[in-house]
Amino acid sequence: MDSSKYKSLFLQETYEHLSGIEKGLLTLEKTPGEEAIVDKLFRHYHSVKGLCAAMGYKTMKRLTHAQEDLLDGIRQTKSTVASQEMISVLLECLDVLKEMAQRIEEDRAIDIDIEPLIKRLNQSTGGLEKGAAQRAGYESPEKPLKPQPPSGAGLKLSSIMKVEGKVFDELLNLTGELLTVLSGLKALAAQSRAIELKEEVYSLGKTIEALRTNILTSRMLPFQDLTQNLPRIVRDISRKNGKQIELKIEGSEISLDRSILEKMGDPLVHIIRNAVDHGIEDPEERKKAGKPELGTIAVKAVGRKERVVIEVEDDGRGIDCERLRHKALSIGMPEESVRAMSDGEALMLICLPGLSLAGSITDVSGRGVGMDVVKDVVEGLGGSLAIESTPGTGTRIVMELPRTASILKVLLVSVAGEFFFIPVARVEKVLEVKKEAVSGKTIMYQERQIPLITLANALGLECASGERENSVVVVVHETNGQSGKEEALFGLGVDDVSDELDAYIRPLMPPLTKLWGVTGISILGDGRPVFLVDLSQVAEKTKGRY
Amino acid sequence: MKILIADDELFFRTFIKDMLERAGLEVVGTAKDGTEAIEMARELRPDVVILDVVMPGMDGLEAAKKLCSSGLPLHVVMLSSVGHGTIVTEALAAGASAYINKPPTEEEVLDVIENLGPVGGTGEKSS
Repeated sequence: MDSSKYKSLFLQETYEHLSGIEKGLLTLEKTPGEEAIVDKLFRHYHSVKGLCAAMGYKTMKRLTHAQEDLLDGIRQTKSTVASQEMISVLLECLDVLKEMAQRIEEDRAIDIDIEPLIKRLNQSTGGLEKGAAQRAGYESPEKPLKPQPPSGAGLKLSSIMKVEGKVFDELLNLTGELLTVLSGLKALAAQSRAIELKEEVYSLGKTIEALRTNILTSRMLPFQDLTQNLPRIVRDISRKNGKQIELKIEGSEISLDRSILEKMGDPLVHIIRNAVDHGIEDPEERKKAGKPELGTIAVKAVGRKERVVIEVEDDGRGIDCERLRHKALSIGMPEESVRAMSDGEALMLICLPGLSLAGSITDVSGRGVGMDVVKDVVEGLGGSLAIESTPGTGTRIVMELPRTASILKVLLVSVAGEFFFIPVARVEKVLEVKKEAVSGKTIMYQERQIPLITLANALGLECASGERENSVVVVVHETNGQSGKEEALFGLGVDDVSDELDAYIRPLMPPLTKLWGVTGISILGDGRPVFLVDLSQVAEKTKGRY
Repeated sequence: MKILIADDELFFRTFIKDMLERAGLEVVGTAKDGTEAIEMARELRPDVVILDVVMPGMDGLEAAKKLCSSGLPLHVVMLSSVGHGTIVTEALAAGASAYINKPPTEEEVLDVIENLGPVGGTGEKSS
């Protein structure tokens, strides 16, 4: 029995209907009694019911059927509008249906007790007497089907395929390895006289590059995958707080690498939760302040070539910088430096651990991650975070992130017995110098003195005084070098330079983001983890000494 | 016997198509709604059109009425869910030949299809 084919079709259609149901219920809540939406919802439930019946998922079918009855009741008794209570029950049921679909997908048993929900649904339906009476007496035959193998006739399956996310990580890893092998081959070909070899290596290189581009593209997911659950989250928190909030989402079609998107989930929810809990005021307070009672939270994604900017803006009360300064003082920050801060700098205080204003305005938040973790995640992904806020008008949080996962050309260097990566793009030259030459804080390069820092020292590693006569200094650019100005260089003393590789660099995630001087991690072919050196941070250190 | 299936769900289109093809019947096309079903029926000239009752846009009942009054030599079979008794009755009154309960079993589908008989003498019995 080829049930897997039907199962994947079942799941694909069921998930579509479930997200249609969620959208419909949230719309219905805002505009109760809108017939077109009730009809649409009814059709979704009806379809899910039919699908469940065909697959023999009895519990799921029963739950869907009870919901369909309620919707039908609403439809028949046109005068009755869907009450808040009904929508809440239906949303709860929706969560259970989602859970069931998830379990089916994972081949787990659907042993969820649905009786309490059925009871509540039936009560709601019973309330709509007229509708209930009309539908009395239907008997639903259970006829789970036993699909048999198809006759081999051309069956068109959906061209969309579900693949576990980690497969894509492995693909990217392997591409990195391929690129490394390729550079070895290129070196060999360069030494060889065989023109055929050169040509083959050239075309292999082109193919691998195309493969890499394809894999990077296949990893992209729309921003929508992250935002689709937001309306529900906003609805749930704002109802609990008695606030009225409209959520606007823009740029849901912008695509990002799944590893980046995945990690942005918690931060985004945290920021929005903050906005609902602390940003947007109660309707009365807003009225008094001359604002519309309905607060707005806008989530926006804008693509900028290789980068993406994600903004969350609310029209709430804004962040009170004075309060932040007080809080900073109360946890023992020196008064001088706190007073010297501009408002903009003071706003960033909110990203310090323990400095969230959460507790001081209301007590609702404090769940999940804090703004400090949000900043860590964004920076760990190679992005940046900015906060703008005007008291009384609102707050805007801007996160700028890379869009694609990166395979970086890196230089593998050894320092005090450990391996590290240095991004090749930042390397100016690798010098082999006499040992005495690296004892100072500067080194001569192209007839000028440039700062020199020993990587081992910078990273706080025990410096094994090598036996070799010569030292290796990697001359690197201080910044990414897009400023167009004369670029600052500095020398990085390492024990040895062993190889140039193409590595799939994964971003560091908290708590690893707290590590000083490194910005990403990759796993070598033999399983060893290697950190990517954060040259900008190391460069800061040279300035301190200069 | 050439058959056209109209259902808004890919799942059921596939499901029923597989059943019919396993039994050696020819599925000439699948439609996603009533409008598409009528267009495809005109073009592909099926002997049987299986119509789901609930579809977005033009639903099964409306499509059944249009097909039955179109003069095309074909049978209309309604694919009905529980609770659509009145709709099915109306479709049968408008000229539909039979109905199948949803979800369909292979037995029921084949039983209904094989007992349809000729339509206006144009059934392809020779094949």
